Amino acid sequence: MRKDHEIHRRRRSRNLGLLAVLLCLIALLYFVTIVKMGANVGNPWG
Amino acid sequence: MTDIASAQIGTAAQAAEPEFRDFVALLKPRVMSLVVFTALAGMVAAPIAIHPVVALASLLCIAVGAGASGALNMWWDADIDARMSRTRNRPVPRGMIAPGEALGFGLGLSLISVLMLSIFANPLAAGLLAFTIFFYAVVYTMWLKRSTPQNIVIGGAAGAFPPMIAWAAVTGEVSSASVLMFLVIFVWTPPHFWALALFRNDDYARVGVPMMPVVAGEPATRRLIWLYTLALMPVTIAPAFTVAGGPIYLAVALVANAVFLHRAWRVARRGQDQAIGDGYRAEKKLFGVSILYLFALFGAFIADAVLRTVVVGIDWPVWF
Repeated sequence: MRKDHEIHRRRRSRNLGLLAVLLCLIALLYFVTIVKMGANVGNPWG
Repeated sequence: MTDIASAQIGTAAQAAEPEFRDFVALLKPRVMSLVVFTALAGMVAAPIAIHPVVALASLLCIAVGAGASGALNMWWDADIDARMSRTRNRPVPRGMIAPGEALGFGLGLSLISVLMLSIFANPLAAGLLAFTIFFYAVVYTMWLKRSTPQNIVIGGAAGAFPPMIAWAAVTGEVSSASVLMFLVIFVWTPPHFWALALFRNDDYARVGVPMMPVVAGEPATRRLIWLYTLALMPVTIAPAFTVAGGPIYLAVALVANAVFLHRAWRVARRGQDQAIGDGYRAEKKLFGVSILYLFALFGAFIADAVLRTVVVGIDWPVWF
């Protein structure tokens, strides 16, 4: 089995960090959208 | 940044593979913590309440905007950062992140944070954030820092904007209370940074940054620290009598000012020989106290906001 090079470890840390940031951003945008729509959520004619 | 220094740093960075934490370091997380805290205070102290999710999103935008300006600062200052002991381990001078990457990262985050804040909050808050990033990256970093000993006096405005941006994000306006919050940080910045500059004088002198002790000398800097500390007193008491202030803020401000005055006086009355003798103990103490001082004042804004929520109908004078 091939041992990971230091570069791969660093790259993985960066990719996982970016994944976490993107997931947080998606969650934030989702919840802000729900809040901004307020009482009209789920009502397309609201 | 000079071309030679830029080329050297760029070459070193080509061989490196930055980790996630290098990009986090590019955002100056310690400065960011102060920005987040003062912005949170501005948000909580505002007389209008907004939804916690919108508040969190707005706060995040302000934090990212502040971080972006930090990344732009590190891109521009990489040449001098590499020669100063305090900053030589930053990602760009260490060769972990190429200057171009830091620039792209800073510009990208600036754009995203301003656009997102205009959507989450309002155009006024977004405009103030954009101006803050411009002021820190261009006016302070590129222009004032290397050209005048008044660099941190004027440049301090960049660090003073976050509570005003947060206030504007909630209320949609700039009021006397948010202007006074701005002034608290603005007038606090010179004694805070000059205390640091006194015990980091060699660093700044070596790289040619005209900090006050380098240009005017230590005795003049000590006098100025004292004068700015005196000016800070009325500026920090006044917010107690705004819609953001209250009895807790007034009490904390009085105690914190007494401690700050005492520490500043100890720095002002002694000479360079005495400071060298004890390793700049009083100056380091003043620097540490100044950070706690700001946290205490803005913590008191939050405490008063909580008090107003718990105890309804407090009869407190509002003069400003």
